[in-house]
Amino acid sequence: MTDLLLSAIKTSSSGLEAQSFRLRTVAENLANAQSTGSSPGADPYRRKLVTFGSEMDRITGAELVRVKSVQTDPKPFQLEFDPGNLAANQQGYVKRPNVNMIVEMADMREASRTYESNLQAIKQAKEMISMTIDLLRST
Amino acid sequence: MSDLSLMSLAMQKAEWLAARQAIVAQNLANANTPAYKARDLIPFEAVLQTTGFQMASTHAGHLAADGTTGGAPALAKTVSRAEATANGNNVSIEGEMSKLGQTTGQYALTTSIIKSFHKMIMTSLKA
Repeated sequence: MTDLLLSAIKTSSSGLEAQSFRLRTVAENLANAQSTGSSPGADPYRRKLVTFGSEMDRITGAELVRVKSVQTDPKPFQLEFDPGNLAANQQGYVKRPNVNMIVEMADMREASRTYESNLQAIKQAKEMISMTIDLLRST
Repeated sequence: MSDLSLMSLAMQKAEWLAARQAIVAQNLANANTPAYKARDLIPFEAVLQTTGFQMASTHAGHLAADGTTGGAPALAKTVSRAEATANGNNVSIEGEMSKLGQTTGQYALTTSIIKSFHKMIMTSLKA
């Protein structure tokens, strides 16, 4: 049997990894919120979505979390009338990325909240391990 | 030697708490995984009542086991809360955080019990 507390730390660190990947994707979406296409009528940046999935860890038997897939958001682009833009089509409309700032901010907050809770779980598990070691120390 | 069962009881509790910590960590890691259902261990009191070796008695004349505990704590997992978000996940981060705090607190209690019990043994040995 493997150490349960070490397996707890391993599980939490898989959570940290998954959430930081999600944060990275949010940052990509926000950074490209204004990226239009480079030629007339071309598609602009398409929003990315991260999906998580559980994965059984064969050594500890715990269910770790992994990034299952990165998909693109199928939501249609918004059209904006801007004939002076390089990416404007013949009618003078520019396709804007389908990134919604508010949605991204909410996603970011959720990711950082979950990240924090995973971090706290690691801290507590470490504390429990040091309490066990303290049994040897003081007696 | 029945006093020493306190030590083994405390060890069992510590093991159960470590297992619970692992389960809570798993729930927190999967807090955003679609269709993941939160899990929990069966309560320690229930573990104590079920893990003792019990001899099957198929005849009225069979002796009953004396109820001493033994064996590893049962790590049965049960699905708890029913309500879920749209993606089928039912992990409540707040609930898991509170469990995390409880677990650490109880672990501190358990290790202190082991520590002071050990101190008692040492006192009686030195006297």
